Amino acid sequence: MRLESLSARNVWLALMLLTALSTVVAETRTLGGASGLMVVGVAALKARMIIIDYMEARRGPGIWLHLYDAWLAAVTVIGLLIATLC
Amino acid sequence: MSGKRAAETRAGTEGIWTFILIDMIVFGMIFAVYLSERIKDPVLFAASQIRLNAVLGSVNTLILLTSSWAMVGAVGAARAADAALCRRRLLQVNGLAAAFVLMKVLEYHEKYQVGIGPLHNSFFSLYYFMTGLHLMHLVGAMIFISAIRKDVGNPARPMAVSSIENVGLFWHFVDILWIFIFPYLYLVGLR
Repeated sequence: MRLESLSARNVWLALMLLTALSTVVAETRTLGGASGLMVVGVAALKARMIIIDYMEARRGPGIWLHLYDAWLAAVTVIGLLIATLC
Repeated sequence: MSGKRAAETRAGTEGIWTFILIDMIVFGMIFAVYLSERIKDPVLFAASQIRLNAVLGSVNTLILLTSSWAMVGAVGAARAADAALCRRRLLQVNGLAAAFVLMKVLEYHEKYQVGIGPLHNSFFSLYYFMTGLHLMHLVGAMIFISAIRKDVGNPARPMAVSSIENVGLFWHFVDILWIFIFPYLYLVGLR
């Protein structure tokens, strides 16, 4: 239980840092044209962390994890297209 | 791990995983519509996007992420049969959710004050639609959390841990939606 709480806290810390990082990169255009791609990548990473660590999608039949991953991939591709085409 | 054992240890019920997947598909289609509209008029979308308050959006993201952490604590407490801690964590989740709603209402108000409503242009139509639909999900989840919280630890109405897990899974899904809505509307494509 204690270990679980510690893990959840570490995930939360990582999520907070990634959010701050992507906002700063997007607002300051630190990476130029790649800023949008980085922001989309960070969003996908954060969502996967929540699916794995908070929703515990690895427990139980793998079908749900595969389905959620497929959705995640589709939504990430949409974001990458926004970042590159628009 | 055998299939049977795996099914026994999965958080929540089959129904909530299915419901979330269906909702995910709906939002996936909305994101696709946003992309197609944006491709039609990238200049208008970029010019409109600048008028959003990315700092408020970012703070709202941090609020939701923190509420998700509190929800993990509520589920953990329910599994450990610690009703008092579970109730406290659920109260924290709803408190943070209320802060999110307040910030969102302030943001809408700020936009209305300068004459930017849902009919202003196609970007803001989608902005209000996507954030409004997300807000409805969030408020719905808050209502469920309040209802469940009342019964946690009530011996007259014993509750299955899976009920808390279900509401927790839905809460994390609401968080995931915002994780994509925020950058797609506020950050990606900024010029």
